[in-house]
Amino acid sequence: MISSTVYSQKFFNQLGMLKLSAVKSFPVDCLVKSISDDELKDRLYEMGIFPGQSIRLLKKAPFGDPFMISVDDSYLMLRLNEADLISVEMVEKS
Amino acid sequence: MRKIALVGNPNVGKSTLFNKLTGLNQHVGNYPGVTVDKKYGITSINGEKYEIVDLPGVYSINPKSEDERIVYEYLTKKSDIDLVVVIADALNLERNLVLFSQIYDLNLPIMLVVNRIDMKGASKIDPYDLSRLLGGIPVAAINARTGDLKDLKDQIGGFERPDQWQQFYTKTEEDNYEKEIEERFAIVRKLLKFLKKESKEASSITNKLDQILVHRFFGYGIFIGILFLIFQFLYAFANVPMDLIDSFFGVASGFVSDFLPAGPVSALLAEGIIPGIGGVVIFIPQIALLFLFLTILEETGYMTRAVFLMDKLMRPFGLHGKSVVPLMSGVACAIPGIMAARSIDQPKERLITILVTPLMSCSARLPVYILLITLTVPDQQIAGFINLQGLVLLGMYLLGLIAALLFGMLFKFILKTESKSFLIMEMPQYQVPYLKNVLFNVYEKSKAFVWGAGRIIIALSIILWVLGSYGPDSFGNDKSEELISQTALESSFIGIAGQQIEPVIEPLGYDWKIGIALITSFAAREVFVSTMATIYSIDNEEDEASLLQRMNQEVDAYTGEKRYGLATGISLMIFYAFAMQCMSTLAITKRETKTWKWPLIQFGYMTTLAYVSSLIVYQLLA
Ligand SMILES: Nc1nc2c(ncn2[C@@H]2O[C@H](COP(=O)(O)OP(=O)(O)O)[C@@H](O)[C@H]2O)c(=O)[nH]1
Ligand SMILES: [Mg+2]
Repeated sequence: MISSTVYSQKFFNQLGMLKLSAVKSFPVDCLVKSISDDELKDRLYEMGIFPGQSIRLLKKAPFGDPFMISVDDSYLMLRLNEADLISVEMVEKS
Repeated sequence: MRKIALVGNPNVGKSTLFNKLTGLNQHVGNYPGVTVDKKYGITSINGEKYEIVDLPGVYSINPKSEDERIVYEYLTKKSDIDLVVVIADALNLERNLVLFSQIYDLNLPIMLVVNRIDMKGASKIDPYDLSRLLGGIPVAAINARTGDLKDLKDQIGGFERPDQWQQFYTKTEEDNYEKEIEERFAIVRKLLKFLKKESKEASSITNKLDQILVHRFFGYGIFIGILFLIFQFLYAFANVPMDLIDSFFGVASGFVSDFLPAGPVSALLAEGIIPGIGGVVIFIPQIALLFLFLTILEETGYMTRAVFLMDKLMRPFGLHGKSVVPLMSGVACAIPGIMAARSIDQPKERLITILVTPLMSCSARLPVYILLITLTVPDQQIAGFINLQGLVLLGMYLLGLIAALLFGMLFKFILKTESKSFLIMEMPQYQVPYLKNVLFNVYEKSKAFVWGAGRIIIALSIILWVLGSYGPDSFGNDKSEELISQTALESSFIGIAGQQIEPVIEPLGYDWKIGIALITSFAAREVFVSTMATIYSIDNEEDEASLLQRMNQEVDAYTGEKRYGLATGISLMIFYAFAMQCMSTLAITKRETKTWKWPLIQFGYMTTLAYVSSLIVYQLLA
């Protein structure tokens, strides 16, 4: 658990930004940085997932897909494909 | 009559409110050209009658999905809506109000209802304050499950559009849709800042339950346990009412043929119409029970967790996390299974689920398997303790499952969709199911089956009966006094057809007698057994022992070998496993897909699969 956090943290330090699908530690708070262009972009926006929003990665399903996240007050599930569209920056726990 | 439309995100309680307002006074209709049902009902508010439409749940009115297109067109093309009631969830006002703002900007007569104020974690807002911030449009805060709706009704009854109307957001030249959404969120957030007085305390039960219910081991264990329980109950509790229905219609037929003067009318009633109606009613216990359990699972919030667990596993087969339920219920009966596929919101995955569910071995195949296994598979032990007959039966069930998954895979590649498959789904908090919603859904599903598929089933069973009771020599026969007389199954139209197809089915190891049974099985697969009994003139249909004896003695006229040898037995079982021989399933597929195209494709691919595999198996074994 600790090592995976360290790994992700390092990853983050190097790149600043990573895909939500690549986040290894959870639960973790993330700040959305950008959404890739895709036909699902509009839908993610409508669900409240767009740059500047904070979201929380809660867990992954046992086979690594789908993901459970929380946005504002609601829990959402998305597939790896959708999580791939979301670039985030991890937020240090205060 | 004044018209009201209910709009809102999925799962905010639209249907709960709709049921509360309309009671049983609701109907299902069609939107032109789409598969989504239109639910509308009548309610009276302060002495005046209103027609209410329960629109599909959407996250925006920007038309991307079929649901969104329906809502968008309904709101923009219909000028006769007197009031749009937007329902927002008090648990997530922000995103709900973004949808509200989009609809508000269409400049329609509108009001806002904040629902689920009883939930832990709900925003405590003062409707009056919110109304003032929204330029004076009426706002009601309710609990659609158990709350008092008087205030809401008063506001609807006395609705007047406020004089001022100021757009939330005005699109500028350079703004794209994403920008619009960001802006709307920002505006709504600003608005909510004025309101929130108490910080909310969210429920922690959901998080705790999720630790177990989607756990990598316990999660699957519990899910399998729940499915197992449901099917135990389905088998245990559906059989009693089904037997009762069966004997009731049997008695009714007997009564009619005893008391009406013999003749075509009496025969049509006693042998065509009454059993036809019985053939529809018989499905109701299974449909009602399955939806009883499924709605409870939906209502508690568990269903989305099952999707979370299963989605990855089902996807390679073109299926969805939610397809597990239709497939499993297909083991009891494909009809409720196909109806349950409605909860899959991905059109392609829903269609694939509908197409392959009938491959699962339903309970109507069981009597056929048992008869044929007893007849053709030797009763011996393998490795000392495994019963060969039992093994073959298990194999038939597995065969159905494997075929369903493989064809799911195939359809995944063949079928084209306009939009790509995705899953972005809300996972509601757990809560106690609301019995009234559960019962409403059971009622609605049973009614949808009876009205939507029942008419087709009755019509087809009458046609089948006519073709099975009359033949060319029924007309103008001088031996009898009557103009039209019934004839034996063998010389009826179906009997003749069965004999005509003998050359086609001979390579599968079947004779014309089996050919007749294949055709009559179209009414329902288990009819195979009674047709065989009729052909072999076993008077008492229940007398399976003598039927077995007769079939066992049957020999091939040319080879002198037993007609029902292992090769024919297996070939016939495989035919029954794969062939689409159930008009009720075709009728429900027609109802659910709203076109004859898909039931025809289903019929075509399954029957081809059955023919080819039986042919191969027979040729290999014989
Ligand atoms: N606690 C509570 N639950 C509600 C209320 N209204 C609806 N529900 C529940 O919310 C869920 C979704 O309701 P439903 O009417 O199906 O939502 P729809 O998708 O908008 O039609 C169901 O489990 C309802 O029992 C409410 O006022 N309070
Ligand atoms: Mg609903």
